[in-house]
Amino acid sequence: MLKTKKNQFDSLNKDAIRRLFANKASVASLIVLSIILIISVFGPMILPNDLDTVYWDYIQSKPTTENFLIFGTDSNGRDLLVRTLSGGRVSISVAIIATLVALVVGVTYGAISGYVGGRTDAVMMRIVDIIYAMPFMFVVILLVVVFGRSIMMIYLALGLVEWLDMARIVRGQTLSLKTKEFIISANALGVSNFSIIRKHIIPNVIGPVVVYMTLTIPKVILIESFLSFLGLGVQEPNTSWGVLISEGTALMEVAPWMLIYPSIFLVVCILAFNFLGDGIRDAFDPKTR
Amino acid sequence: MNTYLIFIFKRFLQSIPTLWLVITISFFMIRLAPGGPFDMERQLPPVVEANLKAYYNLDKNLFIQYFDYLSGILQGDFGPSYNYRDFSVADLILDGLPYSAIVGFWSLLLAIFGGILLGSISALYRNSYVDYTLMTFSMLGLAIPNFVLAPVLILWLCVWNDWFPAGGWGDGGFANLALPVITLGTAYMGNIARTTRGAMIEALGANHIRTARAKGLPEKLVVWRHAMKSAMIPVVSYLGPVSAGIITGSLVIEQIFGLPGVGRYFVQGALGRDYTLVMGTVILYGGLIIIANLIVDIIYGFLNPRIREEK
Amino acid sequence: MSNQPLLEVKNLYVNFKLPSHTFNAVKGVNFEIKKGETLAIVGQSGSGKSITAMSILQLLPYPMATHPRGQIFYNGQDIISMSKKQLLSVRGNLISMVFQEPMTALNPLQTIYTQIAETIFIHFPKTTKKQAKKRVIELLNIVHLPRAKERINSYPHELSGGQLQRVIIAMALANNPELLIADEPTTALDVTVQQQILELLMELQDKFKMAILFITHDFTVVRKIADRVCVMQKGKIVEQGTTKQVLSRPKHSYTKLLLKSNIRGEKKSHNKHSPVILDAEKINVTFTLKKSFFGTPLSILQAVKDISLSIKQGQTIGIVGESGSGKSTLGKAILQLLEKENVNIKSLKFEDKNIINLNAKETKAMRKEMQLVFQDPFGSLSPRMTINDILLEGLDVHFPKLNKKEKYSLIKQVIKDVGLKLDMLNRYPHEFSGGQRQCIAIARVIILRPKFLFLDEPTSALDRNVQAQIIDLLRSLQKKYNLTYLFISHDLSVIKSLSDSVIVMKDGEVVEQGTIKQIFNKPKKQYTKDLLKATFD
Repeated sequence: MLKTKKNQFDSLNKDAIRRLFANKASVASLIVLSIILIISVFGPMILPNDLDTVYWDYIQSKPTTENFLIFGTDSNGRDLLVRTLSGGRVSISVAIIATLVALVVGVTYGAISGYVGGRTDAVMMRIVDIIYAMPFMFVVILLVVVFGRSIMMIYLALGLVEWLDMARIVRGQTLSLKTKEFIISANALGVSNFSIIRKHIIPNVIGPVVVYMTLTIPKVILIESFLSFLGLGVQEPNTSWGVLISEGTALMEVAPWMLIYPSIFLVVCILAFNFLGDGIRDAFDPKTR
Repeated sequence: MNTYLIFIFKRFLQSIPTLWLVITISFFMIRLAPGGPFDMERQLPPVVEANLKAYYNLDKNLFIQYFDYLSGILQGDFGPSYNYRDFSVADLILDGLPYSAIVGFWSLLLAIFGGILLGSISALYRNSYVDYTLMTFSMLGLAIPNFVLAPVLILWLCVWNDWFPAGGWGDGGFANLALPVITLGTAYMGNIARTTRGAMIEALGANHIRTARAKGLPEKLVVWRHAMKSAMIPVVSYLGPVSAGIITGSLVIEQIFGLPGVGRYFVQGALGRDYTLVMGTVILYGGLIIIANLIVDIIYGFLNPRIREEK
Repeated sequence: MSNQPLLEVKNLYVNFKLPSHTFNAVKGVNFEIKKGETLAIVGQSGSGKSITAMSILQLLPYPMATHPRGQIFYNGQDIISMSKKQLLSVRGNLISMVFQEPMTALNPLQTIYTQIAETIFIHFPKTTKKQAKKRVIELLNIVHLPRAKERINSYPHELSGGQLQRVIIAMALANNPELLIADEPTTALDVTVQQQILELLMELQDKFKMAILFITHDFTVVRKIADRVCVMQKGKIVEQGTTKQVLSRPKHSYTKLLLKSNIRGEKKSHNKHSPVILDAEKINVTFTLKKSFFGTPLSILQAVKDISLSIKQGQTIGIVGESGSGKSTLGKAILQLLEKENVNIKSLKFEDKNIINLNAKETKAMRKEMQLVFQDPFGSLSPRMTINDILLEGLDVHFPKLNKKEKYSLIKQVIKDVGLKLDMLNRYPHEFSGGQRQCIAIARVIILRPKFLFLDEPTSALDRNVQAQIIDLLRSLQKKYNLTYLFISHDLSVIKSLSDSVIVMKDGEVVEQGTIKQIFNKPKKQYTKDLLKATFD
């Protein structure tokens, strides 16, 4: 009896993964991101200092090996290394959660709109267009001002900004899939609409969605940092890279390390995600190299 | 031509409800925030506060305030600023607008033309060292947030080397504008460069490009006459977000470089619950973004005739 | 008058540098073309014939493509080592090229005048606008484009494929080239249009004493147009000689194989007394192309006009027509795959039962009995499903009560029927060739044991020899399972080998219909005669 290996990797995907790992920039990015992730999660646990431990003798001091103050301290005498790593936890987790929110909402909205088509699609897309035309950053800022600076609010606000693009992409993909003959064939076979969406549309849409997700994460990190920089981000004593950079900017002439270290982490992280996203896109669609 | 004009008209009509939506949402949201415009100052005796509120009509029903406000706007009156008591909102905005506009304009120009140029060159010399260098540079540009680039540049070019003034408007000349414009523009220049490169590569793969080459047309003319227009289409559709981004970014850039633009009014206004000031800036920014999107749609419709005939 | 050849290709090699390996596309090709003669290079896809043609004008994607060895001499000068300036003066001037797909070969945003005139201005920049306009109109008249004077300001999308190809040929002739390279210029066109274009090319050659290098996969075309022919296989020329020699007395085994893959066989005529299985009265299909602001239709296309037909069980009706004739639309209307608002049928009965406006359950039952196979084997199989899943999908819908073992045995049976192997079940569609995928598509519907099969150009996207195999397969399946076929094609030779009755369609209407014997031996209408001439000449 021939067993169908249901959990065998789709070999189209296997090809893509192979191409991805051949791309040096992507592999380097994956490694860098893993490192950042690991030290951000485990660093603060291992290091002797806490996020808010104050060293009265080391206010705003240069990097030194005493007391493990490798990155120096901020104007309150707190260990910048630990604060940078903790900031990393916040920045990255916010980005991932917000992106997942955008993913779930966007994919569902886009697939339904695209597949059902007709009036429904027109209305759904019109809503997206209107929301898209609004100066969203300002609404987000207002939201945060109004409802206070909670982590939940930030996740929500950011997710709500990004789902629009996701919905548009998924809808576009769905539309072009709809006219492909294997969908018409499935129709002719008598397969139900629901099954068609589940078995034929969604698996074929995943490619662009993954690419988009990987490129959305750095965008969200940027937005969150931007908000934090303006003073609208996470609250004390929690911190994020944006907050640290804001503090660093104010004191950059006297304590440049306060600006430089968190900046390096932020920029490297964003760069890595972008290279990775590019690599994934090229892996799935090598034509555009 | 007719379909094109109808298309523009339809898009214009669609912008109006969007602007109205922005105004309404902002209006009610800012008033939902806890606290009021007079909390920032030292504790006022309740009688004075009540008088102040009555003076500014803040004691009336919210909806009445809303309609009052709308009718005021239609007459060009954006109300007085609650925090900057001697000035009307319109005064403040008009005061700061020229500075923001100039910086914004140059940044947009840098982003668009710089981006298209870099992207086109990369596409032409695809997979060469020129390509890799330019694309890495673009990638860096879009990865470094403007609020990181600004202080770093200031540190390097103004503090450690005295080549540029660290801030302030000065006489509005090159020295003072160069850094703000570069910080605002590079991120989008990077993005546009990458988009242009991709679009150009795809446009150059089209069949009619092969025909043009077979006719004996030199490569530069092939790109300019036959690939450019279709390559610009994805780039143009990206210009809407670019404009919005530059406008948003100006908030931070003006703060860092100490430029007397409109941005500080928005942030201060939001934090200080200066309702009218916030509303004024929101309408300004919202209006600008909507106009930018409209212009983008118009250009897009020009480049891509098929879109005008959409059902 | 020296008999030096116009073009001499010596030991040409073409390599492509891919990321994983180097692909040797052309391996040591030698041929020559004399002034005024027509040389054809014939071969299947992947033989390297197009790549060879593109090398002549150096149009390959260099530096990924390279010529490790070889020379291409034009009037004694080697093109490969020419300077860019010299090369540009050859292209479009001394040697011109015409490509396969006319619909995408021109810039959609420029008028045809601009594009033809550009060719003139590139090489003769001193030409005045007036002279250029005159010349463009003259060229369009030479290629017999009707109403040339009005048409010069048209955009490409306003012309048909055939008309576009004429424009492109006109553009290629603008500077009186000595050599015209034509890379499968008629493959994407309808058969009658193809005939016209070939006749045009022969007329032009006669008039201007131009040499032509003609790339094709079709020996019928070679016979019509070429003086000499080269046969290419996997990057090498396996045989060359005069057309007469090669076609009547082929020496190489590959040439013999290609020539033999003509479609043969015929259908045994069906039992005249079998019952009518499908009966359709007055089928009408209309599409709205443009709507006004308020929704009223502004321009409509009547794809199918009042067609009635009746098919008996076991019969095969072949519908032949060119693109735009409405034949596919007709089939899709019968299978109820179009939007209801576009279709208007007076009566449609399957096995004497009405099948219009059925509820979901009845529609499902109908779908089991009436199935279809599409033209494009690449698009009709879901890329992310294994072959096993593809075959199972229909079974799960129509025979849910079967257990795994029973389903598996049905799958086994149908795999055997279509000539595939069991180890293919766990693979994915992109791992198979076009012919194999078409077999899978056929298996997918046969497994449901339908009674009626609608086949929409099932062989058109395949190579000639594969076509023959698929046709044999369809014939044997029909016999084994007592199937009724409604078969659509633009290719009369395919129709001839599979059908007992033929319907000829043009512009949504029936031009002529009858049995195979009637249509092929005693055609009545001119259009039918044109089709026959273009296919079998």
